[in-house]
Amino acid sequence: MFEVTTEPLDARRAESAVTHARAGAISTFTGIVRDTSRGRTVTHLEYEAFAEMATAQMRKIADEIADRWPETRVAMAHRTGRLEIGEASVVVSVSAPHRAAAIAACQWGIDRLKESVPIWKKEHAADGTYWIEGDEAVKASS
Amino acid sequence: MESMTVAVAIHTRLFARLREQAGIDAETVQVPERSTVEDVYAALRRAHPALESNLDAVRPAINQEFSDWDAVVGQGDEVAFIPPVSGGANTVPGVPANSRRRL
Repeated sequence: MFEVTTEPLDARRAESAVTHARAGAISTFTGIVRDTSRGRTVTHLEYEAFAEMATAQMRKIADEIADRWPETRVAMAHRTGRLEIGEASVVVSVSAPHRAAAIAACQWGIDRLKESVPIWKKEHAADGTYWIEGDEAVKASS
Repeated sequence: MESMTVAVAIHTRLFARLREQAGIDAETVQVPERSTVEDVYAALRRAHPALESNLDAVRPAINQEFSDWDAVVGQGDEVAFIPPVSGGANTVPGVPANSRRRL
């Protein structure tokens, strides 16, 4: 399961997609919209995606994970559109025969997703809106 | 308009901050044959001068694959210009740093 969706994310669905009889462990990361960022109060977020390329990049990351951690299965989902505080923006779920590989591969998967999947975050804060680009917050036009 | 140069049509796409700067999310541009991704971006910047001038802050992709700035485009290619993603800090997997520069 690799998807970009405007619908609320369900971590259990990602876990269901990776579970199987030889998988003794599932590790799931869920990213949540928080109410502060870089000292600013955040009211809500907007995510924008290059959806076709984003899902293709997710598949590539899953292939990389399969090369590094044998017998893993990966699911990734990212939400787009307007998200409120407390909502899930991203889910990465990895199953493996044992927990060490599941946890390591899950962390690696979310790190790679955040650096290479074309999805952008716009923060709506009390003092304006900002595109978040790596370590930088760049004032947005609207 | 007469010219010996054969033009190719390139379907460009802009996202996030670049989309806002240009005021468009897609535009088909005509460039000479054997043009590079950098030439395509320069053509877009002529039409939309507010577009980011620092190529280090943009990652090109041809047909949904990250590419080099000096990759050559062909008729009908889709070329996307991608600002840094939230966890990216300008790292471009597989693209050497010396291929990134200012216009």
